[in-house]
Amino acid sequence: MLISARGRLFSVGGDLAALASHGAALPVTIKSWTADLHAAIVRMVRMRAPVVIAVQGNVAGGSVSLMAAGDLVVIGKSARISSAFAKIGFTPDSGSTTTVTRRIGVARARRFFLLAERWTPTPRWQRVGRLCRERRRGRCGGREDRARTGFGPHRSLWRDQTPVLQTLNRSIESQLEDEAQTLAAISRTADAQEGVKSLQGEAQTEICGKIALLIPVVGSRFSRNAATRFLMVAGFEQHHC
Amino acid sequence: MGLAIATTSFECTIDGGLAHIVLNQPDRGNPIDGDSAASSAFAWQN
Repeated sequence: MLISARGRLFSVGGDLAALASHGAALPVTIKSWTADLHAAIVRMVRMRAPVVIAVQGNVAGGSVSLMAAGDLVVIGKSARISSAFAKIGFTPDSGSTTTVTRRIGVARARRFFLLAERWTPTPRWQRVGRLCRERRRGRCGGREDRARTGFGPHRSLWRDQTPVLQTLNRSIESQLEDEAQTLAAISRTADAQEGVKSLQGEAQTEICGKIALLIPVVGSRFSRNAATRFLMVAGFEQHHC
Repeated sequence: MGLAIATTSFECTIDGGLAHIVLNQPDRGNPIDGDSAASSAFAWQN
């Protein structure tokens, strides 16, 4: 089987404008889309015929997973492979935590997702990690990466870790369900809402790990504190920009 | 020419034992959306 795309771009990934138009129904929409998409990806991964994927131009978000799921991948010189999830406060879906991680390894996958990296078809593809020049003995900079993660969605970063780390020991079906549930939950956060709005030109992206208090908090200070404690216990960290 | 399937988001042809799926919304950047996801699931299951 050969999968390719017409036009300059292979695929921009998820139609974020369409997602944004769903507003408060975003989590439900994500579950609906991923139910179909993940079923298709599992079928593709499990099929007996070898799959060849040919990509050119932008390959972003979920389409990176499609590419990585291929048995053989042909990458054009114009290809730009990017993980856009963290930039909009989302977590990886479409099987990315399995297909990408198994293809390039856990360490590189973590960099790719956490830093929302954008790769070009250079020899870097062949490297296991990014090399850096030591300015002083034993010091290897890394400030740029640290700054980049600082602007990333804290909760997404936190949630990202588990699926990427556990993929080697789990079936793709389990991973995909985990991705769908995680992204649906993440899409309720203020980070994701900000990220989606920014795509519509409504707001500047200000992803800082804020949570969206969807529970109407109109009561006393006690109830607000109780709601916050509940969310923090449930794994929702609260950060302030 | 063997089997041919066309949806709004991709075309699929099967000929001589080779299946070829072409994402076919270049003006939109071949996005993944509800329609393409549903079409994909349907196509892969059939």
